[in-house]
Amino acid sequence: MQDRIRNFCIIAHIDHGKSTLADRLLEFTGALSPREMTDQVLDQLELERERGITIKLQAVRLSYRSGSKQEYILNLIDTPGHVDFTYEVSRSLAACEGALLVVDAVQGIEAQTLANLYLALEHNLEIIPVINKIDLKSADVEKVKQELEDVIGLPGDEALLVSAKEGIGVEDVLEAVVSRIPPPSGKQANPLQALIFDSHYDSYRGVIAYVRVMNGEIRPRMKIRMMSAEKVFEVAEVGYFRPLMTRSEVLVAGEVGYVVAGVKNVRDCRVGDTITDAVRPAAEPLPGYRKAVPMVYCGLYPVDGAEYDSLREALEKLNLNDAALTYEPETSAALGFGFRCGFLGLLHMEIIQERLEREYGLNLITTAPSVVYRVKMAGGEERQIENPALLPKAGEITSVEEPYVNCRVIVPTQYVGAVMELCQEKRGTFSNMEYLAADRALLTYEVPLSEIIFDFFDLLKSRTRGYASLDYELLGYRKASLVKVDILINGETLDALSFISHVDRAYQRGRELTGRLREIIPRQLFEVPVQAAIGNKVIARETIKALRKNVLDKCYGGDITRKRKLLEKQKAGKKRLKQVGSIEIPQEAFMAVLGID
Amino acid sequence: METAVYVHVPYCATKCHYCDFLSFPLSLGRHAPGEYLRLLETELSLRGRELASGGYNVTTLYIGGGTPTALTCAELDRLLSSCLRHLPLANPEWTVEVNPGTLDPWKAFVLSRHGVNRVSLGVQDLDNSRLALLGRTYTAAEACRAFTLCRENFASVAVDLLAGLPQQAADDFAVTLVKVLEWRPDHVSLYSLKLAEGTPLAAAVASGNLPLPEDDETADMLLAARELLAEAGYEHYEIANFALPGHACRHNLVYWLNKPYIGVGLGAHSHWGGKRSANAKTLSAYAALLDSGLPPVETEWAVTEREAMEDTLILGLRLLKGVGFSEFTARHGYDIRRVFAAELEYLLRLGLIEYDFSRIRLAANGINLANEVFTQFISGGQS
Repeated sequence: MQDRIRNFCIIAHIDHGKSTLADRLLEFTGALSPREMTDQVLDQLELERERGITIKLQAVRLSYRSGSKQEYILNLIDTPGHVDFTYEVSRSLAACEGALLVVDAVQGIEAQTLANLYLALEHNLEIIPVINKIDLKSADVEKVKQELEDVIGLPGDEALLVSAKEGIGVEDVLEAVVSRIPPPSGKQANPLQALIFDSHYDSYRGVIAYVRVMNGEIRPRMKIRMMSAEKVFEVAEVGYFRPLMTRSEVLVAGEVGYVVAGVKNVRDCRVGDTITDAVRPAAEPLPGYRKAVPMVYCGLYPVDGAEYDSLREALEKLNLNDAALTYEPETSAALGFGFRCGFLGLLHMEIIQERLEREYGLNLITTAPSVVYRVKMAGGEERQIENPALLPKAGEITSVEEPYVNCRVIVPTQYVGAVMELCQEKRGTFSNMEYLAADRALLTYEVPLSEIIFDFFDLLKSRTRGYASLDYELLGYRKASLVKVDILINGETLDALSFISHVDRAYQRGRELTGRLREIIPRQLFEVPVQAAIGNKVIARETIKALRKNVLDKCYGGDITRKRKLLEKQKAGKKRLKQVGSIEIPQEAFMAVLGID
Repeated sequence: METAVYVHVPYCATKCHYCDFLSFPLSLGRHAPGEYLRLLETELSLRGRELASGGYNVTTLYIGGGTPTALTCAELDRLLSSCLRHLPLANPEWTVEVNPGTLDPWKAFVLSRHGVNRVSLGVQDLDNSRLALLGRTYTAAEACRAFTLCRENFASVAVDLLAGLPQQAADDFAVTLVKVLEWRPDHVSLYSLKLAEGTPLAAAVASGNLPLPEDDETADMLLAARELLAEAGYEHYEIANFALPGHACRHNLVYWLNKPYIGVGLGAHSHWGGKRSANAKTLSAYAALLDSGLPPVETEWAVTEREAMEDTLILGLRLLKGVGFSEFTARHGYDIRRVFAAELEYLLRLGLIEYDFSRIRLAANGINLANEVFTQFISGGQS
């Protein structure tokens, strides 16, 4: 039985056609009737589909009758395609024996192609290169083959030529999966070890764990133990996805499926944890588990303070499904009660924000994202600072450390100069440059994460006309000369606008931010000074002039409704502003710090 | 009982470049006012009977547009005769809006012979290039001649001017005003340009080719203009209106005092019997209703007590004398200071309003910021 199972995933740079290929494989193997076939079935959430990104990974069991008339079970495990979710990718790779490496026949190898490939190689996966989109006029298959050989060291001729969109070469892909990827190797007789590579919360059944059984077997009514969470549950149901959930008697070594065990919280069922038999436990958990650690924090505040409880409930609900999201109550003098939330990265943050606004109908103010700083206090104590406003005074601090990332940029050679210049502006340190082909280079820099989340990606795209691709991973913490810049509006510090900057950039950023705030904040009924300060020292000042004219002067033929409508519109406009002290501030002001530089 | 009637003439010679009001340019040749005048007569007779049977006298009658003087002499004669025939007029203040480009001595004669005693002359500016920008079809010299003609024919002549125009510096507005004051009109209205979406002028401004003065500059123009008018003996009696003694517009006072009035004609609004209503806005709907013997009302709603109080305030505060506490209480049964305590406190603190023992009014600083005051009183949600 085990030698008829193949577990594999598809890895690719964004937009290289991973989801379309997955759809074709499902279609070809008859996993879905045409009626059930939505456009890209693996991308479930509406948001994911809109952004064309897979966030939640999933697993589908396909039945395939090969050319040699053998029945195979193929488990396709989907992986998220974004740098924020690197750890999740690594766990789903750990559940596989092989990977389809999809490369766009026009674009060639991009930064995420490489990042995902390196991850796959770390897990000793068999790599099957797939050149996709060969139907396009501008496809250059030979060039991509050459890149595969030069950059990755895979024989270009082994690459499969596919157009997922047109359904060309799909059967070849399935044949290659069967013939080139090795079957799983675990033993059913050994104690149970099942890797959790994803989970989601279902309001009727509790947490549904997506597992790959490495050794042993798992059945209903069995007592199981989550080895890191150290909790015991009783299995209610096991099964697999076809792609709809289908119950089965047992999941055995080598198989991929789901486990329902009355788990009420995704925290007890974390990605990467190992499930074992509570009665006959495995000696060791599977390697590689770590808790997801937020890299980026921001404050989320309801515009209307009365929505605080709704925000808390919404965060609780999202958290049921997303163990990587953290939130702690926080109070801002300017914004009132809200939450400091931690995210895996900027995309994760934007997704949560959008879901809160869209699915829960909340009107939110988001403060500019910040990284986590490590501060050594004069007394020797070490603190983690997730909110710039809370950075202690200069005199109380011995040193501040900030996170650095290893940043890989792939770019056409004519933009190498522009990228180097950008990395230098962003306090990056050059570590390497390689030519992938005559006209494309891979640049590696070490850059502070805070600079990346500022506006690095936008600038990279604009300075390379969209041709650069970016990937990064955390390197560690390094000391830096950092200061906190406070923003004072009408003489009062607006804590939600404080930011931490390298000392050499603080003056410029302070000037730019006050300038932008002057544009963004509408004129009030009195003159309002906007200042930037380090400690007590003001480093920049702008003035918002007082509003002088807001009057309707004519009443045409007694049509008072027209007048009322205009006044009502003005009044509604004011409701969208946040009243801070006596000043009305629009939401975008709190994100203004991001656009400067 | 005294009451007010407004009659709408939805025609112009040509459409001005900043206008988004209900009016049809006759220059296109697609519109013939004859049918409309017939319908107007039907509505006037309907309304006139209602007024007469209720024992009302019409003491102010205002014919606006559009441009009433875009009509021919014969058409004007028909319109004014209809008013005389059907409305229970009682020595009214009878105003007609006049465009300097469409007035001639014969039309002036027709108006005055029927009893029109007040005209509102839409001069807007006395700079020929700016007049052309606005799509006005006359020159400064023609405007001056039109004024003389009005002066000779009517007891009271009002002039409208526009501030905040493209290519208008602060001094330019004062120059225009000084020239106009030399004519010695009885009444002056100072409006500032509101760009309405979809108009040619708004498009030109949006394209960046025609910068408007900053709001600050327009505010300065208006402040300077108020001083000039005060020196010349005009009383600033409403946000945008100035009059020599005895020449305040009685018809507009009906609106500002939140009193009842009847609007007649296409899209005209009425405030009558505790309700507000609007007539049909398309000629076909207007005709269909009238021809089946019905009032041409398209929408009608009862004014709630709260809305009535808000209206009394946001309209009444437009008058510089403000709103009297006892008048308000007599009318609505509540004390302003109770109903709007928080709003008044806030506005007083900002210095936008002031009050004494008997009235509240806009403070000098609140005149240009009147919307900031009015939005405080609006509860919203009303259509």
